[in-house]
Amino acid sequence: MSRCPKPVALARGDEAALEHADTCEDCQTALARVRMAEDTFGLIRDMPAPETSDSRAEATLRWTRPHLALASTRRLGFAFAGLALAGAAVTLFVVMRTHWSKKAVAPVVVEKVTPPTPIVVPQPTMKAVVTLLGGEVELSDRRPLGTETLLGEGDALKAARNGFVAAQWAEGSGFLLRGTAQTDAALTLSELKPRAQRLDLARGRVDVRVGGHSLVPVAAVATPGHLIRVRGTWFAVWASGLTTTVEVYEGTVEVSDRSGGTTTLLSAPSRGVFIASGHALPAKSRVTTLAARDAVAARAHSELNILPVAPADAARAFADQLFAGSGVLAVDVDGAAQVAIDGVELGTAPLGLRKDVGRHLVEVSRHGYLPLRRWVTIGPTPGSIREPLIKAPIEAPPSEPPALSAIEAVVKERRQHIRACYERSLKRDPQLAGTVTLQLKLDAHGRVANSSIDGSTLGNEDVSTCLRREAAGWVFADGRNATIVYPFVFRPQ
Amino acid sequence: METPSGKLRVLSLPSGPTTEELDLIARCREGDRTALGEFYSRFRPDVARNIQRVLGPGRGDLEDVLQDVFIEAFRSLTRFRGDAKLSTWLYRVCVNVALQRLRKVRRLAEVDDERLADGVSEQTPERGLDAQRRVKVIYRILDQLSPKKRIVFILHEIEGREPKEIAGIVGAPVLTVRTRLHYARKEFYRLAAAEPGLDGKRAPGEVSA
Repeated sequence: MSRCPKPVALARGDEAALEHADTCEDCQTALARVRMAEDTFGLIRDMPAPETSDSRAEATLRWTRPHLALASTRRLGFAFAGLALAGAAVTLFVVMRTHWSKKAVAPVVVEKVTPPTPIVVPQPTMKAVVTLLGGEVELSDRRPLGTETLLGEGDALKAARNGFVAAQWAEGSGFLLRGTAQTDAALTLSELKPRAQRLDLARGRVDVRVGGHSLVPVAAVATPGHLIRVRGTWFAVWASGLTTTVEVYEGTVEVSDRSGGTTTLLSAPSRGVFIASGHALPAKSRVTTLAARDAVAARAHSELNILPVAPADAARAFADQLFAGSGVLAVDVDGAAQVAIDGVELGTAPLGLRKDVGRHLVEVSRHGYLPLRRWVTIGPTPGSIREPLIKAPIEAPPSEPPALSAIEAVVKERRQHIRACYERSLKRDPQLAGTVTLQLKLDAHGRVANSSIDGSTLGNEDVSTCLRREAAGWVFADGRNATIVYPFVFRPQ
Repeated sequence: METPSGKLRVLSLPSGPTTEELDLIARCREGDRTALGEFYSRFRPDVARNIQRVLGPGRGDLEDVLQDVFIEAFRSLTRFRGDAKLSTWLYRVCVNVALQRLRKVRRLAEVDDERLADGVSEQTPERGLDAQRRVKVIYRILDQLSPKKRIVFILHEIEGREPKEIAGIVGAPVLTVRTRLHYARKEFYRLAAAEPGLDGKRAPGEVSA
């Protein structure tokens, strides 16, 4: 029997190939699959246009107009420059002629024209409703802060470490300010108008979502170094001195250096780290695309508790509409428990939150405790969950650490990567040598659950960090719940 | 119009934009809000369909890509020379944005069955399910092709465009397009012939909705 033809020959309808397929079972299967694929092309061709939202159209048009206006201004600018050049040439010609002919010329009087004062139309300001509150958060004027509080223009918020507060100012639009484990966060609502919102973030992190409602052409976050403008989107900003980190989860944002330097467009899913120019150092930036898995995790972490709002009633303020359709719930259980509502993790207990009226599933989880699941009905009267968490049955005692040979086998397998950690730093410091002792805590499956540095004579933070990152993926099959301490000796060859 | 051979033949294609389109472009360039809205609503279904064909149905980022296409189109409208039909030019923008997207994220979101079901229709639910599954398999194969090969394959095999036209869209010489197409076909059909998901019955391990 002759050799089987390539599938593309079957797709082409090559006679010899088809003849071969008549007698060859494998080729018959291949031919059937090729035909099925070709049939499917027809289905793809006939697929109707997918539905798209009008809000995105609004957002696109909103951002296009100033851009086009800028382009035409540039064109106009070139035309003016041309005219000015021609004018200068004529003046020069006249001056030269006058000079040569030595005739007196009447002085030219230039009248000073005062530019007209721009007319500023005052815009009404909006109020933002607090929808989530946990940890220590305080308002600038020491007003008490709760899920009933209305935030207005000029209000400044300070979230202590691990404190968080979310607020919503319009349909689908709001922010979540949070202090991290390392630093607190400070934000001022500098502008809160239907047509312009500006949040000034002095430090810490703020997550922002801007809905597609047509009344919001410009929302912006300003950090000490940068200005981040929004195009119908969802993003997070961290500020630390002149360094600004921006992660975009949906849509596009525009990041510009406040000292008037460069402007960068960031499209989802991506992360940009921007260092503004200052202290005689030039501005720097690095933009990376977020991997799909990281993007999903980052979005889950950036949950703003945005509430749905009933169809807009123009006569009522947004805050009133939101109050009418929602209620509050306080979750007050033992500290450090994670609270999730309807499957979405919102933060650490104790916390207060606002949710739309109806039944919601509240889940509270804490390591070492049995999870607590409660259905609650949120209505006009405030609800609360105050229950102690029950300790989980004690887990299996830690087993003996795996044999040295088993540890060495895992280390040997990853030797190249460990060596790479060291060699990277060795390039900068050719004398770098010493011992780094790594402590690895294994979980019930023998995976590394936690790694720490037990001691280092190397004195190089980069190598230690790289080692810990590398060790995070290791698995020791016979070392369940055990702790391993292993020294790595590094010296140049 | 029926020709003696019984097939409809297009003897000459209209080249360049119509007067109406020229007027629309001129107004858009001035930043006229109504014109921009008109442009958007007129071409939105076509652009959305094209993006869906190139990237695959049921993607979560379709709206983002659509927005990028229009932002790019509005931005480069000032550079539109008028040597092609407006829809062809927009198609070119569309393909370029999709290509960038493919390069950036090979597969951002897995195909979402619920969204997919909206796009693919067959008479009975059973057949509809089969059709959805087949479309999903085709895009799974296309995901394994490089973005450049994928684009020419879709334009030729699915949309039935000639290499010369494709060359105009992707901005490459005809010979390059033919080469890419040759390798794309070879690779696609090799993968398709080895794909059990294209057998008449349901793929193993697949759970019905």
